[in-house]
Amino acid sequence: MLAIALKDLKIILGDRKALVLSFLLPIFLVGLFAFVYGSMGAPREEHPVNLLIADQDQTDLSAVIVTRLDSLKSIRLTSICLEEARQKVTRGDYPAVLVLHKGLADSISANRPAGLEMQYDPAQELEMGLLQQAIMLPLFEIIGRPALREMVLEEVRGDYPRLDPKLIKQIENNIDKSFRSDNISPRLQNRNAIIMTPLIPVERTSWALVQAVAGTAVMMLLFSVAGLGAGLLVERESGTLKRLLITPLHPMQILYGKLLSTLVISVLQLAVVFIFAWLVFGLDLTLNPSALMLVALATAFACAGFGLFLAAVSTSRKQVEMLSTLIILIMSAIGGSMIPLPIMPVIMQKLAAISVNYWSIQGFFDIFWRELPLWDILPRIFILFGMGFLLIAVARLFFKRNLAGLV
Amino acid sequence: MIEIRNLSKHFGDVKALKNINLSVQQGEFFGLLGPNGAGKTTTVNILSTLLKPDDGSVTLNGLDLLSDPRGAKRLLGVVPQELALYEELSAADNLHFWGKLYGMQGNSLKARIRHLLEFMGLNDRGNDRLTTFSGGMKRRVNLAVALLHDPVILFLDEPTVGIDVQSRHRIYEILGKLHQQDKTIVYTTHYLEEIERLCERVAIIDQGEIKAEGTLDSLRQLIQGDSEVLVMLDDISLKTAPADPLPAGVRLTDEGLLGSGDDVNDLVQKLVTICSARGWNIRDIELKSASLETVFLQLTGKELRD
Repeated sequence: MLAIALKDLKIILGDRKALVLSFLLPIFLVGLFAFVYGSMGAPREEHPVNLLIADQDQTDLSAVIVTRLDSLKSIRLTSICLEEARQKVTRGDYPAVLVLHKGLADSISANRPAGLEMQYDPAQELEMGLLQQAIMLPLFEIIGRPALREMVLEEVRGDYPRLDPKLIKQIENNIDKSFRSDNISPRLQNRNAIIMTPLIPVERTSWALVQAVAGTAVMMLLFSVAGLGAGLLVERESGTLKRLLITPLHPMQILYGKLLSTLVISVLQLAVVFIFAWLVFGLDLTLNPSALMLVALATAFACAGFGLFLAAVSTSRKQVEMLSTLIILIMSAIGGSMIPLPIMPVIMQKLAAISVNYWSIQGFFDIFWRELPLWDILPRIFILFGMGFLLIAVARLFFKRNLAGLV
Repeated sequence: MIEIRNLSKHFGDVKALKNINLSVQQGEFFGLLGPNGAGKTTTVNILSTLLKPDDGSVTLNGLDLLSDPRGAKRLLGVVPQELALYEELSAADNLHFWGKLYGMQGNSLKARIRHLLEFMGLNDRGNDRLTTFSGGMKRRVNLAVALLHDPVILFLDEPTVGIDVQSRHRIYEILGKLHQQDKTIVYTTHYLEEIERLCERVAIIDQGEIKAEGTLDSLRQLIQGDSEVLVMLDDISLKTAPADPLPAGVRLTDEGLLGSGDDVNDLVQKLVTICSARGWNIRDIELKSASLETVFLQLTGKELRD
């Protein structure tokens, strides 16, 4: 028994690259998840939420609102025109735009609804909750309290025209005391409630369904193509790679043959997953079939490129296993497969762009959730193809360099 | 047919081949004999375009291997040491796949596959997966793959490793037929009996150098003396014998003491004296002509199984 354990340890410790990777992986994942979950409980000041603001009123009051919101540490405010803001929110780049409609100041004076509207992306539910929590009180201080004060005094003056001005002054003070920002009931807060308008109709495909299907499909596809790396090493170990190199084929044709078979399998795997989601969960595959096919093909191509990369850089099956697990879990964790992007810290959301998962998942969100036209989805498709080509180029270099070692 | 001039190859600090020169004529069955790590596989890897030499040249049928490797590949059939086959596929599917890579297709490929399966004695098992094949049958499919495109030169790198005697003899028969078809065959092995049975000429390679080259008879004449005497010992003596050092020209085999020399009488007397001095019991004495193994031992200072 001890002999078996010692033999196994000797083999494991012999492959240093694989050994390092096997220790790196848990360390990285522990660090990553600690960072993500830790940031969820951290003060919002450390991770401000993005908010667009479109000031169509352009009055002193609207300027005060913009300045006040801009002073909040818990949000990062960007002033922008409404049309551009709506595009950004629709594309999922920002959770919401706060629109200060024309006539806002007049509405306040006339004690009419304030003309504030939050146009938002329902997919970013968590961000929206944080935003509402952050802006409600400051807005009430600027708009709600003066409006309420004016309303009460108007009522008092109307009903009791002969009331002593000292008493009126006392009523004013009492209103100010009662409606301190830290002492306001939700009912009063809602008196000047912001009109909430989802930019993406809520009756569309469930956001969670798209996240579950796209996120899982891409992650599992990456695991599946990792088999390509092992496959090339199996060919090497069995001697068939050597024999392939003796045939009149160019060595790169061997690599491209592997790429093609992986691409076919990848496309089929994605097709099966989406058909399953259609049959069981009612995911509507007819929304934009051409975009769906292109995003799926681009995803499959990028993943196949990743498989080829693994195959070319690894020199043992253990290395393929460890390297693939490490890279796939990292990409899945930061790219949105394992943790939905909106709940990740801002820096992680930026880092997500280096992963295949991110571009693919966002591509599927564009189709099923945002219902964007093909033209708007093309940049993500090009990026996925670009990633695929880059990985293939690196794989070529390594394969060429390691060719002598392969025989 | 095959001209190898000043071929050298090193891997890091290890010199795998040192200035090798060899010529193999068309239709010749040429053996490359050497122990493991002698440089046989490196030589075959260079000849089959898998490796580039550091120095030297190789021409196959007048074609420069280094400047036109793709052209050379068409002339070559290589039987690697490994069973380089897809065991999940049938024999016919394997042959079909490899044939396609050589640009063969359609009816001509099908006809070639049928012919080769018959030639290898596997026509009734063509559609069976290789996982159901014996080691010897797999070796025959391994050989068939190398013959698919009807190459004029065949490199066989220890093609009978790990199979039983019967299967080995089956392969010898097939190789004999290929030799009759005027194929030029280069055969690497560390089995002496294969060289003695199959090859017309042989080169002995050790530590990356060609130690000797020629026909079997010419090689036997290289060693000092024409005769060998084997003094067979009983089992008890054989057990104690390895502990004792022996004089030059005498070595211990599985059966007893083997010595070589010009004068048989002197040789017998010498061996008998050694045995009586050590108290070893002689079972029998046999007179032999010099074997290739003795030649190898004389040239390299080591036995093939080393």
